[in-house]
Amino acid sequence: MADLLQNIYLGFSVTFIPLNLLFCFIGVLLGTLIGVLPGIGPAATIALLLPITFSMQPETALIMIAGIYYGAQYGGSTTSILVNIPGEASCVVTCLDGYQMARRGRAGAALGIAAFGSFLGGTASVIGLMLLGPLLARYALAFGPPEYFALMLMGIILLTFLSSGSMIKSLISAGVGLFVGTIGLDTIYGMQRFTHGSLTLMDGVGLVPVAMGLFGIAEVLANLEGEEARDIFKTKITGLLPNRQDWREAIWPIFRGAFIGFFLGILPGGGVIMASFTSYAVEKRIAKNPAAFGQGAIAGVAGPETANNAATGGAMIPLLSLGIPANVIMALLIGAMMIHGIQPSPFLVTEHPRVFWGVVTSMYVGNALLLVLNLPMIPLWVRLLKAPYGILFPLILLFCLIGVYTLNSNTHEILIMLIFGVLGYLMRKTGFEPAPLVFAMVIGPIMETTLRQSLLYSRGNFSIFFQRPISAVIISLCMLLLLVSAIPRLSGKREAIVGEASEE
Amino acid sequence: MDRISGGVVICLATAILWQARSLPLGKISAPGPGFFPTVIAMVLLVLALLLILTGAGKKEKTIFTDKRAAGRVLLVFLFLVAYILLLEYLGFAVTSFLFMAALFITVTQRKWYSALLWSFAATGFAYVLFEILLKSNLPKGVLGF
Repeated sequence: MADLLQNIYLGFSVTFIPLNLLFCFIGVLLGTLIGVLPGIGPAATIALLLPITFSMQPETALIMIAGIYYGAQYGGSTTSILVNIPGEASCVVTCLDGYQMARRGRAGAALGIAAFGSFLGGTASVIGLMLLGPLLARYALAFGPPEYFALMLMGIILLTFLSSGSMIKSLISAGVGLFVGTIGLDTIYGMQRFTHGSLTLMDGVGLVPVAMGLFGIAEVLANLEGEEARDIFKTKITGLLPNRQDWREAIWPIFRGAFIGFFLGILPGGGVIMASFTSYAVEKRIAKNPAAFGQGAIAGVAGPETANNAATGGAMIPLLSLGIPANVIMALLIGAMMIHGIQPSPFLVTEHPRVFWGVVTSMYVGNALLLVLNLPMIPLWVRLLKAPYGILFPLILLFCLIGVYTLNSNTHEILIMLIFGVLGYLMRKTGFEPAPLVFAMVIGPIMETTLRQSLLYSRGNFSIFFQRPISAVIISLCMLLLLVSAIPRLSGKREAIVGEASEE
Repeated sequence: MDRISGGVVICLATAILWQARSLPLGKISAPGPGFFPTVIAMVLLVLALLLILTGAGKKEKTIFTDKRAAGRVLLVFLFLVAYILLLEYLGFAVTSFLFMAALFITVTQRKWYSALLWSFAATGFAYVLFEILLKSNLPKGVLGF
């Protein structure tokens, strides 16, 4: 306990360095902004900002990136409630009851409860992260290359299992990502692979141009096709503070949402979306009056909003304690860490306590900042929602172009971004998810190294993955998941679970 | 559609296998640089075949329904290519200005004066942010700026 207090003290002392506080603020503000704005999500934003973080201290960089991530969840819920357009995929369910509340003149209460729920969910998950993270990390000391390989494999399989659409397509997307990850120098012998003598490719295909292409450029290209009508409320938003009756209806969904969100968030692979859907389903099932759901039930806003923010904290656990990204944003965070020379590993907590505890406590401060800042700023966000896409998208493109160029002052990087932009656009059109590609590309080199080390160690015997208890359990889980998705009747259930998420 | 994308993946996997020939595979007890790419390519081949098999009976949806929308996408793509080609020759400021103006005039169909104004503002904003605040080294063109 004394240890924990000391660590929390260390964390806050890092967070409250004025510069870190400033970037935490910038992160959550930017996050909310892009959560509100159409056509640009947290993945593209983080990719865009990665170059800027090169010159920062690693903890400062991670504090800002984490801020963008959970800030976007806030912004996304605002658009869900006011215009029935989810800013982020995890806010899809918020539309169901949030928009109905807004139509009944209760937009203020819906926004208010979403903000409070998010704050409470975020807080609960940070506390959980503090307690569970170091515990898991201690356990992780028993991890060797086979366990790592198994975990990475599970990360990919879970992500593809949970992503919307065909699992085969998602697995293909991940396979392409693994291949892209092998371009450059071989991790063990330093031999050139697939470079064709190109100096740019020798360093490997950069995460930033790929992520910007797949999420920034591709998103813009896809949005150019459809002009969505945005029906924005003209009514004034009054009474942001939920009344006593609202609180009575929302308090238990908030508690349950925090719990559900946190534990689902820990699961590698898209936990945030799962969390909000599960919370909504649970609330609807146990409600005294399920018919009220979809008609503006405050519990239907409070639960999922709490859950998706709690899940962002939960998702940090596998990342910070095991070095495994739970979703694509976490994969980008790992990319940022590696740029700063921090290898994702179970030793992160002990080797870089400033980073771990600094980021964790900054999330706490960031959540408070969001609450204090965003409630009064909602009218401003609403006005921003009206920003025409015709002005936004050229700006997004310009920033992607310049941002990628400034990485190495190299036009080849822009070319890589453009290639992945077109690829991402075509993938969207044909139903391939881009997230597994980026995820696999980041963890690919670690996967390859651990696989080869395992085989070296076992003298070429694949049974090493089954002889060691931890990796045996994980590999069996992977096989189970693959099996489940291969059986048609069961895979229908999978689609029922994740299918709704794709109805954006 | 699934059959076409499956075919593309098969091409990619074959290309990877072809390219990986020159890399030493190593032994299974000491895998070499070619080991992992070869395994991935084979997994991709299997997945692509599965995709083609499962997609065979499905109804085909055409994906490019709106010709005008597809034209817009192509236009933006061409502007992006032009940006890459011109960047080091004309320099950051001129290229960005032209790029933005081209987008505003053709894709969003603004009036020319509003397009120029917005392009100027956007380029100026990017210049202040990247060149002055972030001190990144943006390319100067033949004109010296």
